[in-house]
Amino acid sequence: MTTLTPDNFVSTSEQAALLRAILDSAVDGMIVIDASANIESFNPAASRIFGYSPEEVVGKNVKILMPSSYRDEHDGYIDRYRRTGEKRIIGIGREVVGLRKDGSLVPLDLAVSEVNVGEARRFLGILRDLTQRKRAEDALREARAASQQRDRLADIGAIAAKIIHDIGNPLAGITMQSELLMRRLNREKAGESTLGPAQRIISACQRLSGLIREFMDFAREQRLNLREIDVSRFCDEAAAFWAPLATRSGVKLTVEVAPDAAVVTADADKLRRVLDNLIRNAVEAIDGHGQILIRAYPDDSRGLCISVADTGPGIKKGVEIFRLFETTKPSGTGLGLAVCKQIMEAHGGGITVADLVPHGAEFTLSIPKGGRPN
Amino acid sequence: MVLLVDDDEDFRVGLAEALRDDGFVVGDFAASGSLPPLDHMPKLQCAITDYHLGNETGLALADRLHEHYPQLPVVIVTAFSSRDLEEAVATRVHVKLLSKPVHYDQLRSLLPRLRAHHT
Repeated sequence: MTTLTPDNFVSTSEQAALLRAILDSAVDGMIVIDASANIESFNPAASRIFGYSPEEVVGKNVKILMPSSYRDEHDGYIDRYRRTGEKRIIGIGREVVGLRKDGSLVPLDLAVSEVNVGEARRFLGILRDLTQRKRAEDALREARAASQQRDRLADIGAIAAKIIHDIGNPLAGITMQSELLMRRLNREKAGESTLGPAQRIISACQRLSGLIREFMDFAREQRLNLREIDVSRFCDEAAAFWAPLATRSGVKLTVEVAPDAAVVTADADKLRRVLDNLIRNAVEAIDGHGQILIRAYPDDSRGLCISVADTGPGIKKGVEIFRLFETTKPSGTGLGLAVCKQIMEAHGGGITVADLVPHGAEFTLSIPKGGRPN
Repeated sequence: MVLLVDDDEDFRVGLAEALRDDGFVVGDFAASGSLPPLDHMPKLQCAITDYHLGNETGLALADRLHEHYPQLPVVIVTAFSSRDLEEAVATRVHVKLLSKPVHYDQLRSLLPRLRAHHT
């Protein structure tokens, strides 16, 4: 086997042709610069990487291919090498970032070697576009992070289940004992000085029970029992349920259902829970007299929408209202709207909030047509 | 008789006493392993059992009880219910599930048939 070197060729022109063919057919970008860092040769692969034709860059300083952060660094390398012969990059491959003609950046693997012909000192840079590899690495990193996040959430779920179980059991005992105590005190016609503390124990147990139930709801997977719901009746029933509280609070509750929003496929109990949560929040948000409007209407992209708009103060800036434990109420747990979001996402839909002018907030539930299969 | 099985003494004793206050005869046990033979339960009207019984589940106990008393109402109480458990309970006609903490009135309302029988 013959070693392929320029010396195997008889004529200089043959040698030049071979070198040109190698440069033109190389998969990697190859750029030759002179001692002043001006580009002398720019092969087709380099053109593909940077988007410049050779005519556009030959004779120009190689810094044209570098983002500003690399340019000063590059001048330093060249100066140091000229003065001291110290090699920082020559002979060593490293990852750099290139600047394309269109201004975008491209990750590159760069290997630089010194090419001396006679007295002339040149440098050959061989560049490999790392975009695909970086994308694959990023995808792998994201997949790993997502997997770790899933594992972490599963661990949190298991911890939550354990805490709920371990608190729920003694709380059940305290609740049962305090209710027994209360019943006996009532039977014996005990005075307020004895009944009061017993009642307060029971109230505390009830608050803790409610909190545990909300945690449990959030920790558990949302499985849906889908069926067709008469939207108008559904909204009317919810409004009728909350009407007494709204009236007592001086709030006018109105329902408007579009004629073409007749039926939706959803889990009626869970959807009702979400709507109840929004209506209760709206009543509580309105301080004094105000209005709540419940609307149901079809939306081309989102399916059926049910919105609850109130004339309250709106949502404070910077509050991520659907985030777990985020609450604007002094005694809120920050679980209610997080569970609502979870329920709506289990339906394949969503929940959004918008500020109203001059004041107020509008929460909108969306359920895709046909519902989401269990 | 109301059969009550739960290893949590505060809950079991509290519930047993409340039921006795209401005139029920209650047999309370900390574990299903301590139960007398299931086919020798005099005047058994209802069973209330924890789900986690150590050597078996409340659901398995309900199934064993139903072998002898097919119509017996069984209430399973649990501090952490799961969808699978809820679905398993839903397939059984005479079994109800309650999540702890359970209020006495809530539990009592699940025993309507007993109102006619208790002394």
